[in-house]
Amino acid sequence: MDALPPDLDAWLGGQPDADALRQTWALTALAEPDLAADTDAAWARLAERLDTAPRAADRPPTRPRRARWLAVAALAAVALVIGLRDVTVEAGTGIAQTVLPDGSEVTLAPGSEIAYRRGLWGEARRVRLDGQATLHVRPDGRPFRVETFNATVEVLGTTFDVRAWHEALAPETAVTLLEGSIRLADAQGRAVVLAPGQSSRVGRGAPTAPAAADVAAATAWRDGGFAIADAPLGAVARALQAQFGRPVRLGTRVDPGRRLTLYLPQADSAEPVLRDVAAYLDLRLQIGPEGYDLLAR
Amino acid sequence: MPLSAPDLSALAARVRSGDRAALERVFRALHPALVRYGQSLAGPDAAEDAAQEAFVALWHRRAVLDPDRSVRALLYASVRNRLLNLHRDTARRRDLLDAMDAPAPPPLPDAHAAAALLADRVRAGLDALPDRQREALSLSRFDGLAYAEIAEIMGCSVKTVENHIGRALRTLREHLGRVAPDAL
Repeated sequence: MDALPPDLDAWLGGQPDADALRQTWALTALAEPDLAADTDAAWARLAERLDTAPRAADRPPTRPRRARWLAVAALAAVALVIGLRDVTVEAGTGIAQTVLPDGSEVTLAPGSEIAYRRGLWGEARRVRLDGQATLHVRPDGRPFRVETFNATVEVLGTTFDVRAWHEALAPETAVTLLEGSIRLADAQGRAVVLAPGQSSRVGRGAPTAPAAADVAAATAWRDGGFAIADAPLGAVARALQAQFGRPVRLGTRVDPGRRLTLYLPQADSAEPVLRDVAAYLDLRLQIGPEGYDLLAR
Repeated sequence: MPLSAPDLSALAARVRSGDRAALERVFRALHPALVRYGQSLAGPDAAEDAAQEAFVALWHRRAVLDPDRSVRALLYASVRNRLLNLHRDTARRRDLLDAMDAPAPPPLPDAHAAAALLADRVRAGLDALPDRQREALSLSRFDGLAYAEIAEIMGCSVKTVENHIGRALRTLREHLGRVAPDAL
């Protein structure tokens, strides 16, 4: 998000060089130092200290220096669109909500990210999604497009859910339509049109034929549950990792493309979900200090 | 920012009543930023330790936390006080030695080179600012803190924070006008 903080905005109102300072403020985004502290390890250390001595005076061991080049690459990507800045909204381990410049509403699942270019908002409405989100699009006559890594959803005023975890093993874009009408196309332009209550997926091939969907399950993540309808195991692992902040890994002999449907109206941790997954797919769940492993029996 | 100010104060209320899960959520939301802030004042290891200590102190003193004060400001102030009491020079020197051991970043593709250069110039401009101006600007820009919180952390008035940030932006503007006029 790149809105000016209210404090600064108020002060700038009285300054003759406000525009120049606003622009300088925008440029400082390039110099943001990276944030890649290892939070899991740090929390584990803290939790241990809180559990043991209330006044532990011993210094915990230091951690190795992390590589800086990732941050450099990220900064470079930001810099390319300066003047036409990308606005990015990210959900951490919780759900995030945002209102787009046209008044459309987006609810983002944990770990998901939506980005758009503010400068291009005039003629076409376009957002890019990595992860999962429910969008409530405000009808205004202009097309509204959601681009994922392998598909495009085109809309005219509607509510729908997109699941498109790019890095997931067995990646795919899955769209469930709640109301209105949408067209889902793959990168080659092969398209299907969805009616309310239907869903379709783009994996490696063309979009699947629209089929009746369990809408409640497809959007249960918004109410603190964990549900996934007819999704590959790889995407389930990725979504669990995003929602609960602990790594979920698949063993080498586990097929990430196996599909499953899962619905837990309440989920406070990844563990009960993974137990169900393991039981359902006849896998072995291994719980370690560094996360979860699903292994073949 | 994954957690808004109202979210944080709700979590802080749960921390006060001894809820470890709430502490974990506050930790996960703020720890990376606190370590980064600490690194602007001292070395990475000292920053990491100071962030840990800040949360230990928060947990031990949870029963006496003031519900009206920002828990975020409290944690930042705690990191700051710890690090300003350290011998900064020793920490810095050790960091320089660490930095020499760190692997060099891989070369960037051409299309990114100009952008990376601009980023370097902005960073150099920030580094050249007086410490307190840079600190106030960073806390507002990169940590999303309100001026009132920054004032509490830095132990000054809101007006002073406003002056620091205003001056920082003007100085930075001048600096960029000299080294990167095309970007303006």
